[in-house]
Amino acid sequence: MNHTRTDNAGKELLDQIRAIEFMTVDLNLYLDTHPNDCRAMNEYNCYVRQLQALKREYEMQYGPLANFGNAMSTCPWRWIEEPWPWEEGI
Amino acid sequence: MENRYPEYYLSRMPHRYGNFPTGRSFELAEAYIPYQRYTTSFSPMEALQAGTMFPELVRPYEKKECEGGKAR
Repeated sequence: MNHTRTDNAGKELLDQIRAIEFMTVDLNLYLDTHPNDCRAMNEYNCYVRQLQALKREYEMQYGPLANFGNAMSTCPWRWIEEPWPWEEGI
Repeated sequence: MENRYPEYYLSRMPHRYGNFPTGRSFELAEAYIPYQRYTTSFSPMEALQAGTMFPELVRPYEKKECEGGKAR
C-alpha cells in the first residue's frame, strides 16, 4: 500500500495534540469534583479551542485522526494512507 | 480509643464493633481525602510526561528493595 509517511512536522503536531488533549482530560477530571472553579474551566475551554484548531490543521495536511464519522475524507479514502502504528520507525 | 458516638448511635451499633470483652471499642475504617486546590500546573508537554498536570500529584515509580529481601 502506498502510505504517506508522516514527516517530522506532522509528528511534532501530533505530539502537541497529544499533550493538549491530555490537559483537557486532566482538567475534565479536576472539574468533575470542582465544578465551580472558573479559572480551571477557562483553561479547559482554552485548551479545547486549541485542540480543535490543532486537530483541524493536522487532518487537513495528514489525514483523519479518527475514523467512523469523525472526519471527512478527500478522494482517495485517506484513512488507510498513514502508516499503521506497527509500521512506525521502519 | 475513646468512643466518639453519642449514646443514641451506640445502642444501634452492631455488638461486635462496640462492646468487646476487653471493654475496648473499635471503629470501622474511614477514608479521608483532602480537597485539592488548583494553584499551578505543568506545561502540556511536561504534564504528558509526568502523567498529571498537577505537580503535587506526581508519583514516579521508583524500584526499591522489597521488605525482607532483595528486589527481584
